[in-house]
Amino acid sequence: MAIVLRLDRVMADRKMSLNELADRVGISNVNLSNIKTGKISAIRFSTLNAICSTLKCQPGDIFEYVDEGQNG
Amino acid sequence: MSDTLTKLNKMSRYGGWAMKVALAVMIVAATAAPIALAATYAFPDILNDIDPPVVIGELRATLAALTAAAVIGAAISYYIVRMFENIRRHNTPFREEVVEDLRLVAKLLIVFTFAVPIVGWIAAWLADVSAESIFEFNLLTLFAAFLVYLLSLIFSYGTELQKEADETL
Repeated sequence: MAIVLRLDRVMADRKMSLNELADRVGISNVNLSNIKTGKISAIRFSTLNAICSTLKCQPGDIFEYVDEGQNG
Repeated sequence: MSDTLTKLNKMSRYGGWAMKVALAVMIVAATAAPIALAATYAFPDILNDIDPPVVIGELRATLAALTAAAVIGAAISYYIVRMFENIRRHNTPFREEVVEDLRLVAKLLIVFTFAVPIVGWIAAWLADVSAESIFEFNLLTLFAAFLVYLLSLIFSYGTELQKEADETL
């Protein structure tokens, strides 16, 4: 997957823990571990809206495109 | 957990209990039928005293077919119990294990359709009696196998959708 979730960087900048973000956004514990283990393959706009609203950031701040050809 | 999943868990528990009872009955039948069959060979004179008279050959063929039916029926019951337990354990019916159990039940129903009359015919042939009027292929179990297989395909698609939902933040 070339799209990488950089949520941890934005959370570190805002000094917010994953549990606190999950409580505010309404993410389940299952999705919490899925974020950590990289098993997320899609995100709802409503969840993205809640994350950006909570972290006061732009969608582009939490996503990064990594060209897999350059990594190979 | 949604209301639907709560109802599904409850129904799976009741269904599991009912199938465990059916499994127990099948195991008893699968044990008793061959014992009775062996008894017809060990004590043939007892059957001669019964009124109305029993055709020993037909009785043996019927017991042989009943044994086959009970063994296959026990296997079907076991996989249905396992399917319900998987649904309750994972709180979703859309799992590969459930799909696999449904496919096994469909295959066993096909085996049941052909194995029971064939065993009866072989036993009747060995007992030198006519079995054409006793044993015949039951197309209903074949149709049930088709329906269960169709259900497994639906659940397989549901498993793919569940995986997508689980991976969606």
